[in-house]
Amino acid sequence: MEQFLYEPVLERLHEIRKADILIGIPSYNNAGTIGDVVKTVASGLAMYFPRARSVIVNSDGGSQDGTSQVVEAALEDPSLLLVQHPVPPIHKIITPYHGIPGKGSAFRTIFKIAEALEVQACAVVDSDLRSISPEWVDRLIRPIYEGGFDYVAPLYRRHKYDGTITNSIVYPLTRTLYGQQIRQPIGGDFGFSGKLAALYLTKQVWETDVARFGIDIWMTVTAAAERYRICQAFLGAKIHEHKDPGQHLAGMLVQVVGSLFSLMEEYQSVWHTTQGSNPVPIFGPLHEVEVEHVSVNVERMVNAFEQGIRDLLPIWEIILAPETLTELLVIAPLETEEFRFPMDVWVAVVYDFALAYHHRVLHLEHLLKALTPLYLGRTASFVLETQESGHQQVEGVIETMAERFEAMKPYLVARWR
Amino acid sequence: MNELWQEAILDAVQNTGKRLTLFLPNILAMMTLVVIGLVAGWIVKSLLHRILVAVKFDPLCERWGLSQSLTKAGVRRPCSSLVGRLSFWAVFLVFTFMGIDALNLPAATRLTAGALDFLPQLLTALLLLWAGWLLAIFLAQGALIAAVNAQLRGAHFIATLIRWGVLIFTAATVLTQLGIAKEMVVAAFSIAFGGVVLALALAFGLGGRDLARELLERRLRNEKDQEEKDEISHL
Repeated sequence: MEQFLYEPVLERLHEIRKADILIGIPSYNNAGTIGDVVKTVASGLAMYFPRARSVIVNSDGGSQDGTSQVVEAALEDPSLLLVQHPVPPIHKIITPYHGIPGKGSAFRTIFKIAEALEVQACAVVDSDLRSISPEWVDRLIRPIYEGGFDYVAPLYRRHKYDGTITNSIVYPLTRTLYGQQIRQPIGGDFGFSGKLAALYLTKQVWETDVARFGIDIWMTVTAAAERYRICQAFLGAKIHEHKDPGQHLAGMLVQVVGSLFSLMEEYQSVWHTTQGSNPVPIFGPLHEVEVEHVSVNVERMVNAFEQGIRDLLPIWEIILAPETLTELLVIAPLETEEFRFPMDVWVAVVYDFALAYHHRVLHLEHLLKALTPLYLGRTASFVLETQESGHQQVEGVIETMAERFEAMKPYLVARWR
Repeated sequence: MNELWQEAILDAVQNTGKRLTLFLPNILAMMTLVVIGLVAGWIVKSLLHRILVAVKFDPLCERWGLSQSLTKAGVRRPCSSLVGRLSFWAVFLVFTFMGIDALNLPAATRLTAGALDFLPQLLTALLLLWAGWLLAIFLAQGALIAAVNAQLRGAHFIATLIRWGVLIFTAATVLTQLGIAKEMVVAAFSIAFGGVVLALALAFGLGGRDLARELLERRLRNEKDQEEKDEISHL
């Protein structure tokens, strides 16, 4: 630990010695939003856990826009603690992190500090949030602090076309493999016990994609596969800063889906024997909230799929089973409005890619990036299928797809040697 | 006259006989060495193949991506069988060269010495060729996928260009390594490389006008691109 954390942080840990609750905020150039996030978190701690010894940790990736100064100022704001009775001070730790640039490396520093302070309950929240409220702290921490749970996954109301990697790959596959219906496995804001933070630190994943975008799925799957007690916290709407959405889609797919596939190697004995899936308890009353409008350029996505059919066929021939490829070729030449990518073909595509990853038929990054046009094809089809549908109907479509993933699981198990 | 003729013929036959008597053991030695080479090669091949199968070399090659690269290069044998075959030919060639040397002919000795001197260069050249071939496939594949994901219309063209660029460079390096007409290779490489650059310029100017426009628009008019973007947050 002495080599991993910086000297001032070690001194600060020595001063604090022990804490009950830790809230981690990873950041990179978030000066515009992090101030409000820190103030809200501090208010949440003061309102809901006034007697607990709490620490807020900002783990920063080398921001150049004054993020650390904003955090410093936010925590010294005298109007911060709105409660009437005296509360113990909330400690703050602001530190740059070691390792590969990314959210995962920031989390690693947070886990280290949690372990050093022997905290009972932790939570991490994104620094670009615009919809965070003090209640989030309660919902993410209380199930662990008082409820005996080890992991709290977030549950948000999102626009029907928001979080498409979650809806079309991550949720159905996680549910099928590990038997727990965690609706937002890569939501970004989580609660976890000190015990689980210590377990995360024992894993040797910090030089992989887990150190980047893969951290969220890795945390959720590790908790599920190692049979820790999991629940979900309803947090309302998630509104956050949009940073060039879509620009790094292939990179995101590589990190998220790559982490998911590599966890399939580690936990194959778990998912081979898992049958069906169970609902996961939800904390906080579910209610309808306003969500931001999302515009979608379907034609562009269909074009991406068609270009994939034109140019990537020799590569897909190596990855996909012949019958999956035949079905793909049938769906290609249609008008945009009539374009449909059937659910079962999509499930077969995801399973074929998982198998190709397992059998290492191609360089892994090439393999995962070759999924992008297929994913865009399925997303376009989903948008066209659900144009007139409301929230509940769209959720129904996603549930049906998750059920198809479960029904077709024998296909995956049979081909996995 | 008749006697002289008979004597000349007899001398010639005797001389040939003597030479044959002197040379026959050399031929026998050469044939023996070739046969030993065949047997030793076969034994080494079988042994090596069994050892490689026992240590599960083929699944390892699959994991490292070697089998796939060989398949793409048109070699469909398992790696263990390939290594076995190569070892057979290596052993056989060494014994064959020893056999040729045993003939004790000045030309044959020179040939053997030359061939043995050339062997390390040949092996290095073969390795370079193989590495270049794999690199060409890898880079072209990466470029193709990246270009398709960026929705560039000339994705295939870019990939082909990269593949041939690497292959031409590899061929030039291999020929230089072999010492074959170095000056000619440098000249040919310059011409070929210049040709590729010219082709690229022409393609951008004529055939790939759309691609060039698309690339430049994306680079220079970033703000236009932003407007067209989806607002989907994929995660």
